[in-house]
Amino acid sequence: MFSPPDTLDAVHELLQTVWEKSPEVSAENQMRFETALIELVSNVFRHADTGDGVACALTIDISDRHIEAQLSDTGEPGNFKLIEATMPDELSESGRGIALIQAVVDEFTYEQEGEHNIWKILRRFTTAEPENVATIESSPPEVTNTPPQRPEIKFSYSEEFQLAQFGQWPRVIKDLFHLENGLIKLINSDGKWIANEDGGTHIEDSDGGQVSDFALKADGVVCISDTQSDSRILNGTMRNNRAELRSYIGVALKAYDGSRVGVLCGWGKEPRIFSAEEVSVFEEIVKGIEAQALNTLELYRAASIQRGMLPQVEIAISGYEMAGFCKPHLSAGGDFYDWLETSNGVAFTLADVMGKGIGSAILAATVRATIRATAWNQNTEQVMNITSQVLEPDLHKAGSFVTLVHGQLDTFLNRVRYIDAGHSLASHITKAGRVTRFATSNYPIGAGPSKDWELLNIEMAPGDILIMVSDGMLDVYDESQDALKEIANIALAANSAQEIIDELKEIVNNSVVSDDVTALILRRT
Amino acid sequence: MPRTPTQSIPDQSGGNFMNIVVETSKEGIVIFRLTGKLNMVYAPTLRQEIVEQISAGHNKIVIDMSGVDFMDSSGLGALINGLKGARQAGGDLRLAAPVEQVKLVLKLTNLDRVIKTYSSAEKAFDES
Repeated sequence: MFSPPDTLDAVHELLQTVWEKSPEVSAENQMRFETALIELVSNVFRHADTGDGVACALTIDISDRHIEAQLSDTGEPGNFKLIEATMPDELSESGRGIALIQAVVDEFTYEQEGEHNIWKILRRFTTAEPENVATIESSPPEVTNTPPQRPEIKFSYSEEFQLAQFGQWPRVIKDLFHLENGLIKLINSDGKWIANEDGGTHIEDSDGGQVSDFALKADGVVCISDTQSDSRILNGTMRNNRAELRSYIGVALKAYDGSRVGVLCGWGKEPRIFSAEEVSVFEEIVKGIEAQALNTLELYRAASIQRGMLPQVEIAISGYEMAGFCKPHLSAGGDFYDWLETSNGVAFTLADVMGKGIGSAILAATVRATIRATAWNQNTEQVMNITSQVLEPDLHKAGSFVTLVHGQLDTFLNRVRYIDAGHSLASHITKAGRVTRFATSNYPIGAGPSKDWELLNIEMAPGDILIMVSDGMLDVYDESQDALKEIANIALAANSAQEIIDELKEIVNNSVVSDDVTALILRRT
Repeated sequence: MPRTPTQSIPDQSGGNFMNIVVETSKEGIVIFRLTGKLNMVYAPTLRQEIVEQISAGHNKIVIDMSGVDFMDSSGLGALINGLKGARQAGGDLRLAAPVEQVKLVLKLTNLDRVIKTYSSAEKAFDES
């Protein structure tokens, strides 16, 4: 039904016919909607009429869930400041129109489309269930026996959201939308909210009926213009127990599988409306946060898988200990260490794939698998030959290379047969304190011809320690210090391989390092 | 209270939605009996009438709202204007028998605390 409202009388009459056709609309809602519509039309006339009158089109849509009016004109762009929504001084004679509209209806928006100004007001009747809007021209809605079934909503405690860093978003929401506060609230494994806001994190109980609980279950963005007059609060669908909270915008955060893990929201102390543009921006921000969390989850999983590939069990060889640690700079990285018991002892490797991050981690996993497949029954040289042969094409394509050391301990001979491919960060220390550094004379795998491996034979006397580290370890010590010498001192003072590793880990954790860091220790007891 | 002869003000707006009838009681209290919708079309007329009554020395004014089925912020503005004028002249402007919609507007605009409201025009200035 379209009606160019020449006079306010016509609007009153139009509404009368609407109410006659829809008598189920409560007196309160009729009152509120009429108040808002007349205020709106009066305002448009007052501000837009430059003397030639104003041509407007008014549409009213009514469903069993809400009633909405849309007013469009071709006047000058409205100077409506829809954000100012507080009542003026009590004895002020004007300036109440906009605030009154916002106080009586649930949504009030203004948009410009080309030369048209479009205002919309919307009043909800009961709860905010999914709406089926029908225009008044269609036949009266049929009475159904049951409301449409909603798909089951899944809620979950989500690891990726807990892991992802959201530090900046609460502040962005607060500043961008001029709100009192912005928050990300996540459900934790006990079913409580963890709320992250500009200024800190805290835990809240949830009674299931609060404003954010409602937003968690709703479809789409939930806006509250004024908690004191919102129909959903007045009829108990949601509760607000925070008196200063007058306006609110919130939306559920979803994990990759669609389950709801929390809300992104903001609130203000003044009533206000959220424009269509603001709602749209809010939705974009939510998508960004969800993408960030998914990304974090992938990284977290990659790191978890990579950690699982490190040796989990000590070697069961009497007279010898092995221990190691690996700390990637990012979630996953190009460093790894490995050991594998063989028929006559143990084969071990420390490797560093050029670069950091997931790409290097993929190559590192391939190197590890290739060595594992061969080391159990091939000697050191054979392992290096096969590994370089298999990996060179991959490394070449990836534009990468690997520095590594691979050694095989023969427990009968107490000797390690050792090859260093471009690594050079290893040393042998005797119980008496004599340190021998190993310099490499082979290229890293993937960086040059891999033949004529220089093989070292390292004798292991009781108390001897073989130390291997990746170059990230050098970041820990400044240039004036000799990293390997410092580490050697630590090794000599310790009583077990694990003790050395623990101390190195501690040092690394207390340092600022910009690379993957790995260390591997073989010690004869 | 006894009435003196009434004046009926013809509606000047061209529509047929608002009527104003002014009565003056023996005590000099002026009662505006309004019928119709107090919106931006009719508010200026009401305001002007109130101003004239106050200029004529009548500073005790009752607006009988029982026949007003709708009021918007312009109507409210006219009432406020009248209220200020009446109080400045040493009197007051009060409302009688507002309907639900009018009460809602008064409440949402916080004016329910400012303008005194009574159940009937006769009770508005009844000091006894």
